[in-house]
Amino acid sequence: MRKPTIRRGKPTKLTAIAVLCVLVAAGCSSATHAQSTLHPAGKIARDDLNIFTAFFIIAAIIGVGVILGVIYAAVRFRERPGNENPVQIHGNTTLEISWTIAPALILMVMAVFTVKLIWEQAAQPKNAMQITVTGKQWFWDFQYTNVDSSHQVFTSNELHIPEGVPVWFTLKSDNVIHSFWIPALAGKRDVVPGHLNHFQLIADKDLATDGHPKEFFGQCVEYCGLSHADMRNRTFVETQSDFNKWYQSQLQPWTQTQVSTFNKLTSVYSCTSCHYIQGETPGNDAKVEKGTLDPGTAYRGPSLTHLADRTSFGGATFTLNFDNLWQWIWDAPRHSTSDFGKYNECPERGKGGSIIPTSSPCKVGMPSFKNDPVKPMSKQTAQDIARFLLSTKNFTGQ
Amino acid sequence: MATVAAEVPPAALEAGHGIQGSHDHHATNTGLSHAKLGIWVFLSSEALFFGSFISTYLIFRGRDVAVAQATHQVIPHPKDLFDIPFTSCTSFILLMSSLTMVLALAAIQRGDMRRLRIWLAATAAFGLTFISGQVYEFTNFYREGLHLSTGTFGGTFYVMTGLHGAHVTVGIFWLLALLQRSMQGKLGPEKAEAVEIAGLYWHFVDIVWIVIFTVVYLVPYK
Amino acid sequence: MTTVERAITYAPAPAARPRLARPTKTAGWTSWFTTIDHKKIGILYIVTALVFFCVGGSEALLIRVQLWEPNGTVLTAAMYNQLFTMHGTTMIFLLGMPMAVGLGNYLVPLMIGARDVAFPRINMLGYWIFLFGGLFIYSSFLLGGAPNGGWFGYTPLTSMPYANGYLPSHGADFWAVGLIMLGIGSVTSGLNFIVTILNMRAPGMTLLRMPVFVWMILVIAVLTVFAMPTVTAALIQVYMDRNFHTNFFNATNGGDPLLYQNLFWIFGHPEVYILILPGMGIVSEILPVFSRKPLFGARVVVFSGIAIGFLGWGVWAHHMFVTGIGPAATTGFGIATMAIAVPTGVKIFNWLGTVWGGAVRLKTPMLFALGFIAMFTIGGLSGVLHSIVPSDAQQTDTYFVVAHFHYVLFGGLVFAIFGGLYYWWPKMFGHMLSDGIGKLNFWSMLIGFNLTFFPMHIVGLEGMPRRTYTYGTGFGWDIYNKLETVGAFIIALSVLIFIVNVFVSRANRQPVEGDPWDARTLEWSIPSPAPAYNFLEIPEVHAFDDFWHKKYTEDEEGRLVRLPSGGSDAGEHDIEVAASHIHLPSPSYWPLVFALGMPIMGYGFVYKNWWILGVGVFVAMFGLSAWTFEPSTAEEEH
Repeated sequence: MRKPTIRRGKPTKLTAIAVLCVLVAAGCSSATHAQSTLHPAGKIARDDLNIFTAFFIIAAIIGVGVILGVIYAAVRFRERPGNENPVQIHGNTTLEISWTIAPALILMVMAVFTVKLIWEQAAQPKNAMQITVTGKQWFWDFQYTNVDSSHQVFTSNELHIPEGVPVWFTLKSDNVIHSFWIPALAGKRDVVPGHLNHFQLIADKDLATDGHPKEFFGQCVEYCGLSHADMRNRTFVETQSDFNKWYQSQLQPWTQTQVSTFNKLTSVYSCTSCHYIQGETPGNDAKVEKGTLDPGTAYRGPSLTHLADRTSFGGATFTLNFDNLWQWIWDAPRHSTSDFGKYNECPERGKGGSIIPTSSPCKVGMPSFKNDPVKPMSKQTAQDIARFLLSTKNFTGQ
Repeated sequence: MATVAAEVPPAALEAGHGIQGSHDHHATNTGLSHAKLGIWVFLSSEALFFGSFISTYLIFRGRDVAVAQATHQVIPHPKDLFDIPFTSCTSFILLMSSLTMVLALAAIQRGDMRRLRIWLAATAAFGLTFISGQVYEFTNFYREGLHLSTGTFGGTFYVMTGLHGAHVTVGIFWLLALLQRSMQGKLGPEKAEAVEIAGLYWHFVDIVWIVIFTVVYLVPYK
Repeated sequence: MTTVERAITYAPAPAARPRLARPTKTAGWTSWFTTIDHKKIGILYIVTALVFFCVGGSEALLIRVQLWEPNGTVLTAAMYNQLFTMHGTTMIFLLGMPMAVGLGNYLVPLMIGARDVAFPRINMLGYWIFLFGGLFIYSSFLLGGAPNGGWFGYTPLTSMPYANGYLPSHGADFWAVGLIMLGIGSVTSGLNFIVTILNMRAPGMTLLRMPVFVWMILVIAVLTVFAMPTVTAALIQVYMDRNFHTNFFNATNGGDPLLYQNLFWIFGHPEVYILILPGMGIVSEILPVFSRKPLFGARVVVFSGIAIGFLGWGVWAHHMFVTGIGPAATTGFGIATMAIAVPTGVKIFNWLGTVWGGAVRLKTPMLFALGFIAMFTIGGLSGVLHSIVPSDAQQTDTYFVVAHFHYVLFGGLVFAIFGGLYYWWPKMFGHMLSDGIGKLNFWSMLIGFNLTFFPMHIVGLEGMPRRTYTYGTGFGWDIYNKLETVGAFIIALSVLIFIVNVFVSRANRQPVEGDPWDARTLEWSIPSPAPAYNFLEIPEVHAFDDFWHKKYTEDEEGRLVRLPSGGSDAGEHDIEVAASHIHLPSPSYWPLVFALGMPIMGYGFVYKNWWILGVGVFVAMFGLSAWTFEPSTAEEEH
């Protein structure tokens, strides 16, 4: 690792560097690395890291060389009595040519490996699982389009993939530009309105065992407005059999009873105008199955169908539990990642923050139902809704 | 558009006011006067400005129709909208104004002040005719349903041709200012370069129109 | 046809016309508002840019305080987004560019042996547009919210109408209109530099005898003139989309958000070189002086600078590697990006070659120049790593990139700026800045800088994205963020030390002669501070580093030999007599009035209030017409 603070090898500086190294080590050891490019768990990410590391080492050698050269020259050629009038050298053609050609050669080698890898990664892998990702403000929708052609799972924020299987993502957005990224598995790719972008990843085999998926974190990496920092995602890499179990569980729509209970609880708040719930409008479900309705575009909010099967909500930012959930339902704009439950008077706090004054119709983000102009939501109602939502669990894999 | 207008004249107006130019009387390194070199640099910058809008237009050209079909909108098609003979006429008039501009410059270089004024006035008048034509055209198009918000065609068309029209308008004011100076007897043959520089700007704006006219009106739409 | 006096010179205003007497004062504080002296304008630029530097730096400190710990609560997301947007906008458009223009303004005429710039009043106009443009953008903080779409302002985030869009407040309107205004200002100054440098060189000052700094200013002037129009076009499109519902970037109606990115980066990448090349120029001036050796391979340094400027046009899409432009495009732009590393590397080696074997005086300017080489090398190398397209997909938009461009723009540009200020301070103000405090300034900046930005490489690789107002705990980022915040405050301390130095050195001012550093270029051949007329006699130039060769020659072994000083020192009285025959253009109000119209028009555009716009147009047109009626020099008093 290059240490730019070394300019003169004084002991104090060395101590500082030693301290820094310890800190680096400390930072590394306590971390989960679930969102690190330095701990790849898939081929794409590993190839990226390998090519990076190789040329990083070359760059570091050059960098350290130049810096040491600067320090050496500054010290060695310091003006002393007797050397005030040095030999005047105006240039040296051989040197010029050699320090033009040498970097050019290194760069050519770099270009060869780079180009090879670019084309390798651009190709759509054979027999890949296909997932369509929709970037929303500020969460992700996922639709599994070819696992089972007649039954597509549509979910939000949390992605489940089987280990060792190539996945081919199609990325789309109907709002602003986002960028989808799971650092440990592959490089990012922008999600651009009006364009369909693709990328592939393949999680290593033997990452998970039955009942024990491996969890990775990621987040949106293209600035997308107010709550960009809270637009995160979680990925569970599972064994094939776990994945199949999960997939089957996610195909189940809500029962009639569940739908009617929910509708009764939320009647004045029309949750389903923004949130897709499988089973709530059978007509829509049929359209989704046929592919004529895209819930990623048609609904402004994340899917609630299997919310209880997830570990997080709110752009995969908050842990899914009763306390977090009811407060979120009650007054989403007031929450940030930092002080859940502690109300902050700023309506633009962060996640869920509607950028429009909360009294006007919600354009982006969850409105504050506590301050609903028609019927302010009571704490009790919020808790009832939360309790109900948590009761809709189908998946028992984890 | 006023901001664009603001870019134009000073480059030329300040000509010869450099100390060395006006007092020490020695030639510049390039042999070009500051003003002339300045206007060339300025016009090259302007070329990229229009280049950006023309590229934008080309990128979106004809895309609307497909989008409108997909979204079931009814938007006016360029083919039905354009009155090519009419626009050709106004374009021809604008081109003619370049000729009169050349004649104006020739006149001042000869010292023929009367002709200078005639040709300057004619150039400005041709320019004004062109602008009137553009106003008429915009009004018509707007009535037929082409708004700024109509697909990408509305925005790209109005913004690009509008900015060009703003440049022509600035040019007209510039010519009229020269005409006024000439009337006051303050534009002698020794100041022929003032006319030349205004002329360079004017020709540039004409050339831009030739490109825009070709790209927008002449190349057939699918 | 060839001589200048045949260009437009309008007759002096008739006696009845002037309602306002022409300003003639060239001293006193009021003279700063009407000055058209390139040196005073240069100082105005520099001081204003330093003020904006402190403002932008304070924004950075707030950002760092917010990120001190995970889930920080110092700032709201809305505030944070405004701050990082304004930090970037400020440092690029209100520090980097104007600082280069300011130093260039002061130095270019002195370095090429000219008495002024080609268009003194346009020069003045450029400064006031810059100041008003900056204040215009900053006024948005008081008017409902600053720009919050990032300095890059990606559409459609910035281009959707305020009323039903994604960003609250008129911030993005202020941003678009303000940048158009600043762009007009930079184009005028770029134009002025090009004409000045091409047309006004002293006899014998061929292009290849020009100092490298002048060369770099010429290159960035060309880049500015050609790059600004594309971003102006893009910003007009953003403005139209926001306010008149055009669909340039609205994909639903056929527009394309990537069009914006292309237009923006066609400007944006040359812009990066507009920022760094002046720094390279400054360092190329400082190193030879403090090594007492000529710049190693001076021509190569110049040509590599030109090559960088030229190649800079062909690499814009490396900012778009992950936008889905396809493997063919990324291959091409990746290779082009690698190619830029070659001329950059050549420069670094030549600088090292300059110092090598010299007689190195480690004065403050030299320390900053050496610091520049070291820090810029790190930034340059991490930049080369970004051209590896596949791994760039891991690093782009993370803190690794933040580290990279701060090593280039802070470790590069800002170090060079401070070096340049220490170096040219005596020329500008007639006294030195304290070298002792200067060294403290340098070392604290070097330590603070590395403490702030080096850990960003690591957090970036550990997956921390940019432009996030908060982050979770448990990713291993916490400790680095703490270090970065500490470092940021050390940088702030260092800037404070500089400010203290300015005042302390002023209080203990010790006047210096014309050439306190024993330097090489023409600006040192005249007294300090430079007199209003610059050169009593326009010098005749015979070589690169002409002034040096008037002082020194080389013996057979190439060693430096001092020449006996030529005793042509004229008496003070003679100088006064000679100087009184030099005509300088007189001050003027009108460029200021013209510039004042611009922000008024700007408010008109932002609020779509055509009355305000009309007032702005009127003010500008009034200033312009008065300007055209005004001769370059006031009438002689009889």
